[in-house]
Amino acid sequence: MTEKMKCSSCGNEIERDVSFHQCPRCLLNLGFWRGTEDSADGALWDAGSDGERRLGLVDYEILERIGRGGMGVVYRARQLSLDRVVALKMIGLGELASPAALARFRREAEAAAKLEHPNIVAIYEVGEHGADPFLVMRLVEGASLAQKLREFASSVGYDPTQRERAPKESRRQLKIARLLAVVARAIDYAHERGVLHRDLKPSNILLDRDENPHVTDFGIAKLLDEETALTQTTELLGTPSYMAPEQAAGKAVSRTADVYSLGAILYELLTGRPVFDGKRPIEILRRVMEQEPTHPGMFNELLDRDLATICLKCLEKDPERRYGTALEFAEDLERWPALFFACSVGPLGIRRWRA
Amino acid sequence: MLSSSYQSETSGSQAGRFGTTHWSIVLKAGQGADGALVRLCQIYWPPLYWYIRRRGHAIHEAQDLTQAFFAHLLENRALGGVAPSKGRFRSFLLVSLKHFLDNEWDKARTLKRGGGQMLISWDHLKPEDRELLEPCEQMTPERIFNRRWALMLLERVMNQLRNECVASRKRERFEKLKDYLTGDAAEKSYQEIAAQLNMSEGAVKVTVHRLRRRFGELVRAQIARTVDSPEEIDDEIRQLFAALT
Repeated sequence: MTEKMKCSSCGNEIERDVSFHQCPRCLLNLGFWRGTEDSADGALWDAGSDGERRLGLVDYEILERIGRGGMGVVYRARQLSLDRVVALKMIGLGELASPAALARFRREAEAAAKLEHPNIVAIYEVGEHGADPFLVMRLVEGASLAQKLREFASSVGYDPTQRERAPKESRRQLKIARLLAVVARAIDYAHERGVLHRDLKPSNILLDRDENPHVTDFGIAKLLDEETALTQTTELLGTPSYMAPEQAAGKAVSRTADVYSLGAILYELLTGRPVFDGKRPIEILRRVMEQEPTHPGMFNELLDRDLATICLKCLEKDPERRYGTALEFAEDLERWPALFFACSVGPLGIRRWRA
Repeated sequence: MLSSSYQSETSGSQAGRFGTTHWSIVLKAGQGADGALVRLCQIYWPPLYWYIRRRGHAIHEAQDLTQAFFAHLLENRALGGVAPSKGRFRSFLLVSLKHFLDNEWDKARTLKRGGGQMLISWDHLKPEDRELLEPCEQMTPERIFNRRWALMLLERVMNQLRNECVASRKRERFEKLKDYLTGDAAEKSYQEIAAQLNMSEGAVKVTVHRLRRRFGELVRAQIARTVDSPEEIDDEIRQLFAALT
């Protein structure tokens, strides 16, 4: 029997069941270290300044962590060769993705990287660091739509005394319709090039300082493929509130699944609540698959009926009954203000604001 | 300061928005796709196995029961008795295992102990592990479970760090400097190591500093996959620390 070792740092004995022969307490203690004391983030310890950058993320100097989503960590980084600041997304899958899934992800990301559209966040590079894939993208200065949901929220409920707020509410609906039309056209552009998004949600729509939308994370959800079961894994897809029923059921998806998600985002912006909610992701999934959405007009008396109809058409359970393309959805949204402002009196006899 | 453009949603109350919460893979596995769950089984078997051993089962029986438990999870039978509405993956697995051992394993045994599925290769079990449960002789099964969980996590982080270094062609540095992760009083001085690695002493110190910081990052990242929110990471580290004391 070998003699027990002692930790050179804390002096405690290192028990025989510790396979790595180092003090587990001292190692675990390193987890408390936040590592914010210098500019090179600890996540990429070897991308530092010792002049030996060779492989992996050698071209990137990590400036700061700017976000953490379901798929991984996003850093603000400087691309040294081009001296530009970029967003670097490390996708923390660890061992959960098979090599085949990673290869598929790479193909998908490379397809997304070919998209050139003013409202799609450009992907500059797709790579792997150790076992984890990473993406280098244009840095959009601003905030995500998820962070700005409150700014879009209505102050109108189902209350007749709120009618004097009609002009403000009309402007709000117009702003939302215009925003979604721009996003839908960007999605249609991607669809036409064979790229589905698969995970459209407010956090994947970035708003720049002029409030122009930029769609990000195209196809990343594809990494979660059938083989790994991760396609349906809510921790990676985030909330399933925006997921089409056929996607929730694990069936094959087409562009109409993205149309559903666009409708779900529109619904939330118009009503201030997701189409389906629940305490647990699995409850939401079940409702997505089984329940009909509550008419959005139930939550907002001043919601235009035509806009509500456009929204509900996206949310049809049967993909065949939705808009066939994101472009059709965009065109209806763009036509809608003309219909809306053509008549001054709405269906409930409420005088409407005129443009 | 740049405002983040990539935060996950802030509205709503659903769990599972933070990192990789592993129990949601278990939940979803019931819907027919279980590849990820099989991988989870292969990762998380040690604490479960040692828990079962501490409950008094012999080696082969513990192996069979561990297999059967995972097969049981794969078949989604566990979900009726356990409410994994929220919580740490570690607690979820332990509660599920207890439930299984108390209620289900007789049934599982009649199903050829796991329905014949071999999810785990017992080759990983080292000979010395087969012979002794020390230093856990005085510990409760729960304590052993948590201790093994912590050791498994650290072992995985160590391997991950090694892999990163290998990918960056710094394997030699890692092998020579890994003993410095836990303190400066290792056998060899920085000066000696610096000479061996053909680096300056200052560069060695910087590299050790980065290794420690990266190790800490990876610990937090691993734990993030098993808890509900970033706020729980520190507490989980404290609980695992307690299990190691």
